[in-house]
Amino acid sequence: MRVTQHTIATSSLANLQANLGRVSQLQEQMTSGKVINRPSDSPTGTISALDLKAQIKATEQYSRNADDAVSWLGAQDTTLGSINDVLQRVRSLTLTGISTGNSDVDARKAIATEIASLRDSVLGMANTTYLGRPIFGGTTSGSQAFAVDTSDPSATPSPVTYVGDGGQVDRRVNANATVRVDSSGTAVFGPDGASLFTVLDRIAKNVLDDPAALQADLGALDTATMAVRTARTDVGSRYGQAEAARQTADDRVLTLRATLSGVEDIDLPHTIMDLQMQQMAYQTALGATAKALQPSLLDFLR
Amino acid sequence: MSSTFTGITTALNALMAHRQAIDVAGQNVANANTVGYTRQRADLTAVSATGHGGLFTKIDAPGWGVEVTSITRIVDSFVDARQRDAHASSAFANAVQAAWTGIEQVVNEPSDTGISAQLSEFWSSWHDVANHPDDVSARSQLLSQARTLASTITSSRAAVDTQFTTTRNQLSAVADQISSTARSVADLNDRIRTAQATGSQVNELADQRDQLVLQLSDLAGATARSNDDGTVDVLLGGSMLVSGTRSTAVRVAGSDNVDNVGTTSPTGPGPVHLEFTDGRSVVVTSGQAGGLMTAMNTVYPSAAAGLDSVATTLRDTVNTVHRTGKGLDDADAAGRDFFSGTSARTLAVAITDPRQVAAAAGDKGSFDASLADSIAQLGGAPGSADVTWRSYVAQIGVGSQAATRRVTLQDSVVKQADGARDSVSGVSVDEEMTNLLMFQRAYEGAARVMTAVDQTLDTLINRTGLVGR
Repeated sequence: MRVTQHTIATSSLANLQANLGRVSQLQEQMTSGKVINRPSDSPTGTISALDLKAQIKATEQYSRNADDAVSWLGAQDTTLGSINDVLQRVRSLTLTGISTGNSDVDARKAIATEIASLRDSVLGMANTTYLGRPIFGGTTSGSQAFAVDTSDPSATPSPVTYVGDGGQVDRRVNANATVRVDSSGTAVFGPDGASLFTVLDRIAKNVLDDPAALQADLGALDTATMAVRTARTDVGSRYGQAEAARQTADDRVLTLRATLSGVEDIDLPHTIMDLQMQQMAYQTALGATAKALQPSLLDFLR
Repeated sequence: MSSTFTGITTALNALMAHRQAIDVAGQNVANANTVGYTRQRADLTAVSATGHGGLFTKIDAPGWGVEVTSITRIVDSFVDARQRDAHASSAFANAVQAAWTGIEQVVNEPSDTGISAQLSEFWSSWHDVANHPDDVSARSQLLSQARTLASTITSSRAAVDTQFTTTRNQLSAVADQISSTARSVADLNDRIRTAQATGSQVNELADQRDQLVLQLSDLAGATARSNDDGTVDVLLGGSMLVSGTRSTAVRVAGSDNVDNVGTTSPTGPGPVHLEFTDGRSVVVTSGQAGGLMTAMNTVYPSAAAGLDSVATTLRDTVNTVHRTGKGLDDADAAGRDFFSGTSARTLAVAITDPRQVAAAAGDKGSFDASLADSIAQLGGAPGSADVTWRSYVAQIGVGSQAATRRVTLQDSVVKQADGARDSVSGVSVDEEMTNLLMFQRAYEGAARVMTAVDQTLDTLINRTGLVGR
């Protein structure tokens, strides 16, 4: 093959270009910190990166959802605990009423008044809201789960009715599972007419009018209390479930981030070494080019 | 028997021939860096003494020196053809790759602001609505996120449209360039033919013309065919672009937008193509023009279709669920669409009132959030817009990667072809220096011969017949 000065010049230039191109590519990776800067750098890597990012985003959301579930269930737990305490007080008052019998009217009046006021406080707790939503009201758009029904003026005291709905409030804690964060008002407090409030109203009434019936009322109160406790246990187990889900989600985010980093981030020492070597190669090429292009026969002719 | 003065003629011939050879070497050195210059060689031929003697004339003499019979361009037409072919393929690959790179920029992945990230944000917003169905601000947040997503998709689609238009304008410019270059080739053909008829030297004109033909190969993958009268015919996909001294012009025809390239004429404008100005169509599958047309007829439509399918998938998957739900003020399933539009170009959010976002199932309370949860789960479902988008990005990545590899390959082929042409036709300064030395020495020698003959004759003329003087 016949070689001319021009051949050497063009091939040198092409090689220098290729060399500088590799330097620029490594430089881009160094400055962006990413191996994949556009889909063509690695189509499969790009897909993995997009997939992982979507998963991270979704898992972070699950963690937030679980966080919210924990707050809801925490509010329920506190409320149910307070209700349980109140019911203990009602039980002891009822027992006092039973032992007092028909004797001391003033004492019985005091008991009746206290029970009536305890009923009101239970009603208040049954209407506890979290972020504006009644926690025992299902998916109702109203602000209360239970309301005092004053439509019948002859009924004293006015009965409490459930005004929530049967819907349930869920939080999605991972792709396949949701955690229920409310408790059904009717399950906790019993259906209208046989609810905890009816029992309390009846006790308040019987303490005054018919102490003999209190024994039966005590049984009803115990049943209602048991429902509240069962609900609280249930809430506790769901609380644990939400906590665990949040932990799992947080751990998973960490794992996914590590995987993503493995896919799209540069191996810093490796890239620095590559860049150094490439720069060295470039300088060598420059030196070689300078040497190859300089001499010609002209330098040696007189 | 030769003439007394033959020696002078012989020496004179040699002087003239070598001076001309030195001129040729000078021309070569002068054009060592001229693009497209082909090195020339003075063909020296010994002049025979035979002449036009009679049948039985016996000439017992050396030849009459030397002459330059021609100044030849050192070309190898096969190497030239290969170079043209390589340039055409390389220009094609480069044009296609530029299109892919453009699409890749539109895709803008992997990034934290691309469509993939926005889809994630969108599904997250649905989760937030599911967590707080009573909270109008969560719904407003969702709507604004959805609008951002839709506008990113529409602006990506608009960017593809813009690229198509830009590329089509570029093809128009290329078509003009093809036409004017073809005219120049025809002009040069004319001058070469005339010059050659009068016996003039046409090497430099031929260089210029071949350079233009190479440009035509670059532009449209043109091939050339030499004629006996020194002209070349240039063919474009088998049709004559330049025939001797006549040239034709080309123009762009076919669809002027990315949607219609799939049509066929005469029912539609048909794919973008080139045609002669008299309406005959030209098949160009190579060169820059070929690459630009491939970009417009294949790359951009597939990119647009990909975006459209992401948009329609998103619209359909969300709407199907959303229609079954009800907003805050609805008693029953409201049947509202969340997204409107028919393609990536027209995708928009159909809902303006945040209260109309259906988070609740049709048969549940208005603060129910099961529907919002179902929609939030769509992102991870098989066949979702996310999956469609990811496979679209993969398709772009693979296409772009293949195009880049082709460019690298073609560039090295071009380098080889250019090297091969340079190897045959390029000027080597060292070689010309050697030639110069050679011719200079020969010139000096011829001058010495002339001196020798002169001295001989001097002896004969001035110093003979002087006996006894």
